[in-house]
Amino acid sequence: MPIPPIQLVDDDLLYRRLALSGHITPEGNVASNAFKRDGRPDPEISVDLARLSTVEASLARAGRPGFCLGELKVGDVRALGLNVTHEPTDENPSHSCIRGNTHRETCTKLADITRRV
Amino acid sequence: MDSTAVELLTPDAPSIVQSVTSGGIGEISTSCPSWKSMSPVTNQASGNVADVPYKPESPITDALERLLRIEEVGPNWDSYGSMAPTHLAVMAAHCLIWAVHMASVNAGRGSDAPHSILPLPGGGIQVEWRGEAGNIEVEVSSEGVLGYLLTRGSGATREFEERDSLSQLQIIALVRSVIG
Repeated sequence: MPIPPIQLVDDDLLYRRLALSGHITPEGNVASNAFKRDGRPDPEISVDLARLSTVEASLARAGRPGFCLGELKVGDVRALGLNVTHEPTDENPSHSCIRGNTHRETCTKLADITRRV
Repeated sequence: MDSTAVELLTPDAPSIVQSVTSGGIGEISTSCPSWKSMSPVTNQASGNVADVPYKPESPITDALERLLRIEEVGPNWDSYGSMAPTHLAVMAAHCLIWAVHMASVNAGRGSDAPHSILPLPGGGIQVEWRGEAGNIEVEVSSEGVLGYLLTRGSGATREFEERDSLSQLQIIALVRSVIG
C-alpha cells in the first residue's frame, strides 16, 4: 500500500529528472523538451516531491548515470495555471504529478522556472 | 525532402551543393544530401576526397554531425520510457536543416545553422533556431510531421505562437522570418 497523499504547499520543491544527453541546451539550461511526451506537451508530468525524496534517490530511479535533476517550486508551477498533486506509489512514495500542460508555450515556461540541482 | 523547396524560395540562385561521384566532384544538386554523399565532402575544390577523414568544418556540418549522432541516445534515453529518435525523424530534420541553410546561403546570408538539436520524447527531434526577431522551436515527430513554437520578444512581454502539421516550406518561411 502506498502512503497517503499529502497536501502540497507553494513552497514545496519538485524534482524532475533531466537527461544530460537530451534535456540540456548548449548554454546548460533546461530545454522545453523536458516537459514533453510522445512529441507533445506532457499533460501528466511525473516529478518527485523533494521533502519525501533526496537528490540521490531521485537520480537513482533512472537506473543508470547520465542524469541530473531539475528543481521546480510548486507555487511557480501553479502560477502557470497547472495543478500539482502528490500521487505516491508503492515504488515511489514521493511521486507527484503536474497536470494541465497542453501547450508548447507552457513547456517553455516550465523550463524557464526549472533550476538545475 | 521536397527538393524544390530551395528553388521555390530563391529560383535564380545558383546551386552550390556538390555531390561526390566515383571519387570526384560530380553533378550539381540542391537536394538534401544523403549520409553517404555528406561524409567525404571537404573544402577541397577538386581531387579524390574519398580517403580524407571527414571533420566538421562549419556550424552547418557540425549541426548535421550532431543530428546523425542523435539516434545513439537509444531507447528510454529520458528515463521516462521514450523511444529513441526514429530514422524518419532524423531524415526529416536533416532535410529541414539543410533547406534552411541553403535558403540562407542562396540569399547571400551565409549559413544559418540551428542553435540546438535535441531528441524529442516519443521518437522525434526538436530543432531550435534563434535570431534577432525571436526564436523558433520546430518539432519533427517520429513520423516526420512538423510543428512549431515561435517566440517573439523577451521577459513578460514575450508572445507565443504554435501550430501543428505544417509543410516544410511553411516552416522554412517561419524560420527565415526569425533569423532574418
